[in-house]
Amino acid sequence: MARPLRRRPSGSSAARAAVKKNREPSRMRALILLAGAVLLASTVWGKLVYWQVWQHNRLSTLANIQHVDSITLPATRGVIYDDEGRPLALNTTVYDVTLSPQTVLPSQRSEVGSGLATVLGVSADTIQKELASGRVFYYIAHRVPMSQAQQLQRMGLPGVALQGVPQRVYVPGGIDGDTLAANLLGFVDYSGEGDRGVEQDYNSKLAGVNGEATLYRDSEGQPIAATMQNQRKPVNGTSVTLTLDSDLQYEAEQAVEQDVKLNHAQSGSAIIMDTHTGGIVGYASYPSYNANNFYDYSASQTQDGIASNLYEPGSVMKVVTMAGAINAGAMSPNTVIYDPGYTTVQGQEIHDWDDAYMGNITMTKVLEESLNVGAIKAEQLEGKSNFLHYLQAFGFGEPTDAGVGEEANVPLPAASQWSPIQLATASFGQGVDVNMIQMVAAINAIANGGVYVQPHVIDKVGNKPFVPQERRVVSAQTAALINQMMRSVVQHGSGYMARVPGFQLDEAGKTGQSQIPINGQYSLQWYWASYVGFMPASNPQFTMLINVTRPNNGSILANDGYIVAGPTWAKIAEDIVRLWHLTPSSLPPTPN
Amino acid sequence: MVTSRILTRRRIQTGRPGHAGVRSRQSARPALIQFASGAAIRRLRLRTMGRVYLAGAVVVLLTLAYLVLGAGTTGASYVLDGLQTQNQQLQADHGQLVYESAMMHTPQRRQQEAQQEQMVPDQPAGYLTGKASPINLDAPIGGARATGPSWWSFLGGVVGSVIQGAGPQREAA
Repeated sequence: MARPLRRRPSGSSAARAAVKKNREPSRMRALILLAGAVLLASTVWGKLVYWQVWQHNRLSTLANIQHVDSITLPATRGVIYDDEGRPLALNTTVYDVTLSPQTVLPSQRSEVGSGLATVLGVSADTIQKELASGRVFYYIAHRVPMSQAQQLQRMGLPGVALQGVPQRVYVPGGIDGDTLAANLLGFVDYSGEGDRGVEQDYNSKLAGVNGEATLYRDSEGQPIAATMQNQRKPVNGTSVTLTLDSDLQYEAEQAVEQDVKLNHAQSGSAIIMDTHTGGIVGYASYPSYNANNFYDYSASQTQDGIASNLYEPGSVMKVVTMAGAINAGAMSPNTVIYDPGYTTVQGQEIHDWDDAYMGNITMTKVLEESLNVGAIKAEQLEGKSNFLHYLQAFGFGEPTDAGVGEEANVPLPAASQWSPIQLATASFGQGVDVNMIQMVAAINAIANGGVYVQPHVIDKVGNKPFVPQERRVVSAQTAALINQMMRSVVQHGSGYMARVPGFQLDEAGKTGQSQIPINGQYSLQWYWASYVGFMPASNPQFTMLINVTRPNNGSILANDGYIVAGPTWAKIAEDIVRLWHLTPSSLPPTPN
Repeated sequence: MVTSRILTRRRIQTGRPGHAGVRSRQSARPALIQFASGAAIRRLRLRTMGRVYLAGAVVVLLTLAYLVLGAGTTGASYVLDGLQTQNQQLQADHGQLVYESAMMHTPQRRQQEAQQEQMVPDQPAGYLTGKASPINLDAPIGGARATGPSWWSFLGGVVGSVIQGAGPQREAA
């Protein structure tokens, strides 16, 4: 059923016009209002479009800078252990202390200032000035130890924050104030990079690989862990086990320090090898340094005196010369030579150390008395090519790759470049530059029955053992003859001051002294004094070389290796006997 | 297919007494509510816009759920962050303990403890005694020097060469 329409009030056309006239302004007002509203809305919308669309990239970048943070997930550095698994270099956490003066109320300033001054020992006035400055952020102290950080944590000072930082630490050594085997281990700088020694040589293994991730931070800068993305996990560093014997190292450091001080020398070093494995069990130098405070030392002070310094070995080299000559069949220990105390090569006179007339003497006597003339005769008997061959075979001119960091090496000149005078001086260890590792490894080949074994300080990297290279350089018979000659040096010759109680008939050694070249000329005042030997001679367990630079005892004779280095060799050897429980292998022969 | 018989049955059924009951229930419904619901349905255009409203409600609910979840996640994130900080602190403490343990077993520490206990070697080690040895350890370095006439020394200096087998042979020790 249709609804009845409401009838509109009837009226005249004039009335309708009047109504229409009244309605027009109100419609206009509505239109103006509408236009205004649209305009306002358009302004807002336009602005929104401007910020949200037009400026989107820029603003989102700014927002990301403010909220999205890329963080480093630090890898833990591998520990360095000694041969018995005792840590030599390990990791702790130290703390950077920061202050945010902006967030500290004026009423809290005195409490914060006195608290920081008490714990950290910084000037209270300085802290008060910083607090008054209203700065956003300020470093109060770097690398504060954990004990102090814990004190600050307990105080709960407003505006003070602690940030953990990894720190490499080293154990104390035999020299007061220095760390153990600092010259061997090196240190880790503030950027986390290994510097010097094993820390540098094995940095890629020890350091590991840092991870990284991005995450959001809240308005206070706190990380929101759940927003972590693009995460790459850190790979921790591999631990390294050395062949070093901590106890022996400690004793050796003390002995070398005493030696240097006693002989008023510039520096001194001792290197000790396990005869059969080639592992370096002792590696001591004086002066040394404290690797925990590496920043207090200059580059030259942290340089390793054993591997990085070259020296002329002097008479210790006669062992190599004679070994080559015997192995080449050019001579025997009983070969007799005539030694008037000097000889002439290429028009130049070369003298024995004492210029004494010796007459007819055996090569054993030459080694016992360390006679230059005899060594030259041995080299001449051997011939140039054999002499150079054996120099190379014993490892001279090539780096040993012992894993000790920066190793200095001078390649041997080509055969054509050797003059007779150079060959003559090289036969007794002058004019040929070696490092101490090369020298001790060469003598160790004699101790090891003629087999050269690569000297090395790394026992294991992680679980992977280091396998040293080995090669025979002289026959076992030659090695035995040289061994006997070196025993004779201790029993009858210049090595008497290196005798070890109980082992004096079962130890082998050789003294050395060489002039130091200064400004292209050999100094008549400054020497290297050294002593090398192994023990027990009949079944060698270790080979040790001592070298002292610039001893200053008032005379040339008092600066000789047998006086300066021999007793220190004996002292350390006694320590090894005690630590390794060694016994003499061959007892004195029964008298007839 | 609807037949005339079925239609007849339906007509008969509407005339039954039960039909009056149905009518009474319809009439019991309040007229105002009936009017209001009708008006609301018309005004809200529920019949045509119902699905849109439903979708809107779902969106609102999902948004609320997202916000609740987000708030929970943020809270958990702070807890996680706190745990990570705690973990770092524990690792730092562990490192410190390892360091202190290592310090307790250094050669230096052992030497200090031995000295405190007065465990120092009272006598330096001595050489073997009471055993005869063919080697005279007290002899001067190098033993007796070979001596000869001065002309022999001069000749040796001039020649300066190896004299194999010359002079008395000496036994190497």
